[in-house]
Amino acid sequence: MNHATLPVGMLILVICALILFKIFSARRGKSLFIRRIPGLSAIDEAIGRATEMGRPMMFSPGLLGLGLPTLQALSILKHITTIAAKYRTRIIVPTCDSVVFTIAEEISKEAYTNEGVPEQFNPDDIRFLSDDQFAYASGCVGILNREKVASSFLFGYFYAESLILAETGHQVGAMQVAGTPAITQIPFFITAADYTIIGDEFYAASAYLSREPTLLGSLVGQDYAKAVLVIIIIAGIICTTLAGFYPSWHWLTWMDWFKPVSQ
Amino acid sequence: MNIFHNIGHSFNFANSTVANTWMVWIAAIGTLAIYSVLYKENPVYRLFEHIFIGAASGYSVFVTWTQILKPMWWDKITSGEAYWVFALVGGAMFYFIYSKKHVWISRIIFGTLLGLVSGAAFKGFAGLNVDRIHASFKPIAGHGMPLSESLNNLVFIIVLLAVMSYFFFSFEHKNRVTSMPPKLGRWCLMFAFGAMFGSTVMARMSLLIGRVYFLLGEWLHIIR
Repeated sequence: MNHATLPVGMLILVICALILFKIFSARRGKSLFIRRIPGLSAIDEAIGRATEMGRPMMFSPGLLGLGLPTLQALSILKHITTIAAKYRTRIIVPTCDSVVFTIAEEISKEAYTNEGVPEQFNPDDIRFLSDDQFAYASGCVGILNREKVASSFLFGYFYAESLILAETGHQVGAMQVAGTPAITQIPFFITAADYTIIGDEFYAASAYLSREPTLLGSLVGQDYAKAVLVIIIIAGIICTTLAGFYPSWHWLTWMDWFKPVSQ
Repeated sequence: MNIFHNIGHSFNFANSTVANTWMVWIAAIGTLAIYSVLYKENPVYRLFEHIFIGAASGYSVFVTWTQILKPMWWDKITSGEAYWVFALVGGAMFYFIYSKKHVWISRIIFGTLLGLVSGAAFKGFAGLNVDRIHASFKPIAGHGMPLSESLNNLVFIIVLLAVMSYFFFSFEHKNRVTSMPPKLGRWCLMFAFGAMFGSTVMARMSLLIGRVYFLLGEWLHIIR
């Protein structure tokens, strides 16, 4: 098991401090800028399309159980369901995990209740299909075809089924917005979906969509943390290069702080 | 799983030619039925989709009992570690989600689960990302370092920093200085995704060839 050394522990503390600082300054009312992320801006367009066509939408939270990508996907689901409830548009959520299924059901129920239309919530639209990868994919393919889905959202962690879902969505003419931190699956979403959210953009989604100060502060704080990491990386590259010419300069060994320590 | 194994003492159905032929036919029809959706959604696909989902759900119940609950919970209780019975309490708390009056009980266990996931992710930072930081300290020159290695490291560093710059969200990529690195990062990402796409498509083609080989070989005996 890897564990942090003292310098790495201090680095984590600095990163946490930066994020907390930005969160508190956002809460105090400081306005924070987030650049436009086209894929996330397209979510509202996709909901509008389904509403205009009078057809349902599908949201897949991926194939992972409860983990960070799924939690992020569920927070995007909350945003989409809230707008869907406002416009009385159906959203079908097929899940592959019993815990995710339960949380998705709660999120949808809450969104409809908050919009003042609890009676519009249909428990049958939140479905547990299967925890088997391709059984889940075949179920989603069936839903996309039978329900004549107008918009499809694929957010979460996907494996080989990503292209099956995105390609079927394309075949039925659905507008698709997809995002996953699974690097190997992003190429398939780029080729088959209308908009793709790449890598870290996926984790920026909840802040971008909700514009909630705490989340915005956290996102900007993470940018500051990334800037610190870029500085460390550049310093590390310079020092490693110098160490190649001047091996006797022992102060250059600070780079070993970041060596993995196993126990 | 050999479900026919204990049926009869003198005749092992699972290993018989009849059973084997049946299995091949079921697999072939299932394959064709699932592929039929490529033409359009149809009742045959629908039937096999539901059979697939039902069979997978049944199988997952079997696996949950044989690989998780029995060895990790039931066997421990029956072998004297009675305190494992308390795990049942935690598990049962999930079911209170269906009670309007006691739904708060389920929220305790859901909250605990979410907290554990977040904590594990936080811990994962030291184990995963710090290793990557160290791995990025690559020299771009040195005594006796071959030119090819220097170039290799230089390309790595440029791509790393350009891609990192793409994922900065709190400033607009407007002027030339701030827009160049993210633009380069985006191009680098697209090159990498293109390469991944190509290699994965090749792997998928081999899966398709395997399935066609099954249909033409094991089922129809056209090829050997």
